[in-house]
Amino acid sequence: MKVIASFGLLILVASMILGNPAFAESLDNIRILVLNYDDNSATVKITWNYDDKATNYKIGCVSCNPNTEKFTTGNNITFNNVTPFPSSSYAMLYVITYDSENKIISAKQLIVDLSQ
Amino acid sequence: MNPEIMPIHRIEPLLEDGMLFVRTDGIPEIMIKTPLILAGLIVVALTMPVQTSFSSTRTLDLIIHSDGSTHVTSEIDVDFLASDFELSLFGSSIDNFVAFEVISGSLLSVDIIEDKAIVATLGSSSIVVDYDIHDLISKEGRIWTFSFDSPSNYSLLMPENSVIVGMSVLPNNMKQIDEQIKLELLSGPAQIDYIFGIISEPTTNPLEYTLDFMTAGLIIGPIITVSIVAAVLIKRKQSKSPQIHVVELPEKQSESKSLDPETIFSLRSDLREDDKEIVKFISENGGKVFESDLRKKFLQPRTTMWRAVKRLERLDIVEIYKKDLQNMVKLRNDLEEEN
Repeated sequence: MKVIASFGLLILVASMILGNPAFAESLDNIRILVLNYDDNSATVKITWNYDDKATNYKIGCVSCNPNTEKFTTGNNITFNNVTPFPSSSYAMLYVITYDSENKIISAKQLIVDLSQ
Repeated sequence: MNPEIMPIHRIEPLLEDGMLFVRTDGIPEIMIKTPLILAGLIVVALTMPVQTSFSSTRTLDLIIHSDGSTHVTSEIDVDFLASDFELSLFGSSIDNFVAFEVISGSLLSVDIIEDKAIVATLGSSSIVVDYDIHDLISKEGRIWTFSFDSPSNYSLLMPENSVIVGMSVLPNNMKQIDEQIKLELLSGPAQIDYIFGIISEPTTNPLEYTLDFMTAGLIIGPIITVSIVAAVLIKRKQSKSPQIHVVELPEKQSESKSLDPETIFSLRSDLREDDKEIVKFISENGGKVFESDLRKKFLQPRTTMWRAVKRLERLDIVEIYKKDLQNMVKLRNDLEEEN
């Protein structure tokens, strides 16, 4: 009985931690929304979880020619003119998190199917 | 200098009448030799590029390792008539060079001089070369840069957990293999900047991706909570069930009130001695026992013991009923009243 209760409590705490963005690590939860796509370029809104250690974010598009990048201090950005790779609908983006000393905390590659 | 083509005036002075005379005995020889020399030079000039261009790169695959080295694998068609093949490497910092024949798989001997490898092809028409090179990657801060001017189309497998942050050329194709990105690039110069981070799963549907992480905790959490609460309640109910047995105590007390063996024996004076022993045993065990316990106690076969309890039942001394798929034998307490 005690084992079951302890196990249940453990799962409950774990689910609370995983489900609560306040406990998430930097760039643990990223939401990507393709606002529009006309077969050439798209507007993409990217939102990520809050991280108290992060002070600055760099977001870039690698599949864009030439490559583009933006900076923000918030936890979302709207990227215009995101273009996919040639003969494809996939775009390659990235998000980098910097701390107050401008050191990289984490980075994530984002591969987005703009057609969906 | 060839004396045969020297000006004649340096050899023989002009005659007095002013006529110009030229020696003609060497002209036919010159006319024959010069075209031959020129033809030979042309043949040599034409043959050299043919020899070098005979080889062709069939495949070229590059794998970038996390330590900054690059593994090169290339399949090359070579002239099977030539005994050696000179391969231009993509740098001079070469490790672990291996060359083998495609068909037989046999290793070929290699001499590496600077950025050239002389492979003893020994009549092979197609070879594979494998080597590590340290000249293609540079690093500045946390940014690694891959720079390569490829003579042919090639594939490039990025290191695990790498995040591409810059590309000078766009790839022909791109795949994600587990946590690695594979690019198909065209020939020519290319520069790719990358850092090490965490690669997310391919987001075929961004909303699904969001659902996986954000909503999972919110949905699964309450479900688990409800399950735990339900499990606790069920357990509590189960733990309460022994109290019901406590309530049954009066029944046990009534059982204890069952007739004592001596009374039974007095009322059934013709009872067999072995049956009396059974009655005593049942009485000593609270007035009821399983038939299997009786068999164990008296070491009787199943049929013998079954006949005994049925005999006691016919005498209204015991009653038999099923409990837990077994025969329970219970002393009756109304024997006196019935008689």
